[in-house]
Amino acid sequence: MNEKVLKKFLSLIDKGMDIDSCLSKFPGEYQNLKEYAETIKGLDNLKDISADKDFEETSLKDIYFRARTEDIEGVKKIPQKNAILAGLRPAYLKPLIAFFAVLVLIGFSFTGTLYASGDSLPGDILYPVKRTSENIQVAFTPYKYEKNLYLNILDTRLGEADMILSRADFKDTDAAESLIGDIDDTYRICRERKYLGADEGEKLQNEITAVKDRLRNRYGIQKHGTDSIPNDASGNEQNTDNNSKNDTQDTGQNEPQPGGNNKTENKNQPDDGQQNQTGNQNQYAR
Amino acid sequence: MNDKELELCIKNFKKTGDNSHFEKIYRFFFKKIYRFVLLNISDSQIAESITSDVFYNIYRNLAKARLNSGSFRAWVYKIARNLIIDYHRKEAKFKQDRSLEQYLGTGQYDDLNELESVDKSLIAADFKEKNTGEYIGSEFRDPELLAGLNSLDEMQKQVLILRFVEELDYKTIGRIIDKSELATRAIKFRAISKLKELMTK
Repeated sequence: MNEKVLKKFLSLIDKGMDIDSCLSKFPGEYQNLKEYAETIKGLDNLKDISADKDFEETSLKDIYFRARTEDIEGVKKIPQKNAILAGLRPAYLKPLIAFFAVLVLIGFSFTGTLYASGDSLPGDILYPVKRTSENIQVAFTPYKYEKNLYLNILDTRLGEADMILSRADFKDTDAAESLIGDIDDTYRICRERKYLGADEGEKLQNEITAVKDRLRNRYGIQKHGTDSIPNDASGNEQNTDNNSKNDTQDTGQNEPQPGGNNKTENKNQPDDGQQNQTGNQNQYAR
Repeated sequence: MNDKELELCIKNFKKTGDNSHFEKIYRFFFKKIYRFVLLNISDSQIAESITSDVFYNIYRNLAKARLNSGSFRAWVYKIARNLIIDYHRKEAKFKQDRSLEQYLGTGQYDDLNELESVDKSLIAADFKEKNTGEYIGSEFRDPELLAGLNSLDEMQKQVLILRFVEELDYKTIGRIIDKSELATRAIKFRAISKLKELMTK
């Protein structure tokens, strides 16, 4: 008998078609298929087999009895063992774990990047990360702590300038120019908000002027009229500050001191960048 | 009981541990499982004992199992199948031990070939005894079909029972016998062809 016909016949039965109707679809193979149909009908008759009703009841009681004697009540306690996990459906648990794993991974990588960006200089790939983290700090710091934060930022900027000056291989003029702008901006904020005392202000102003001059000299950057420092060491810049006291002090302080103790002169030593950076951070950080 | 009701019963039993939910599942599956076991074991008393064990296993493990209605059906039949296999193994070992005892006791067999023939004769006698169809009860009066079914190998027999008696789909049968859907279809095709040959002889 053709195997294909038999397969087709069986697949029709699989689809739920009545056996006699299936037979009528294959008139040429009727006799052969009839024997298969009889076999399948015979199997179908086996559905009539049923268990004794009493046994069904006895068996159920027996199951409960065995469960009690073997303390299967403990089965119910299983979910209570892991009370935290029991509250979560297993279907929800897996994606939740995956989500937290990804969150932790992102957290670790972000912290790592932030840490690595700490030593970056203007022009580095991670420098924007460092600046962004500073901006975030500024945004979330309460008002009474802003003073320390801004002074720290100014210290950092000056430290970066020192690092740049100490590195002979640093050639990025644009980065140096933008750093000068950043130092100016931060200093202006500190001055306007009166974060600096009279003495500190003088010292800091001198130092900033010296650093800016050194950067300008090295990278051939022109001075801009918007410079926030009232007077630089040479006294050529425009005074944008209305505080006449500061102006007077500035003029006095900017005169070169005898004996080589003047900070501006010290700053002009090109290989002393690291030392200066450390000095800045200790001197102005609150 | 439809799939939704079955799933609800499983869910409620797992949640509350209330026996009334288990009882619904038990009543729905009892006849099916007993029939499946009986057709595989060919002994009503042993079939009753195994059926009881199947439901005891279900009761014991249902709270821990993660199942939907489809996989639950496969799981229930798989428990039954495993207990049937265990029974056949124990029985085969028992028969081997019995024939060895006879061999050692009488001393009338000269070699291992003779021992094997004793095995076969004992199994054949047992088979003849069970294949009369009487053990199943008055409902079933087709001993030829039962004899033919018992002549098939275990896998073929189980696939035919699961497909034509229990009316399970190929996917569920595949889960029960650990075969793919395609392989299950092939086994069914070979089994039905062989059974028809045996019936027409």
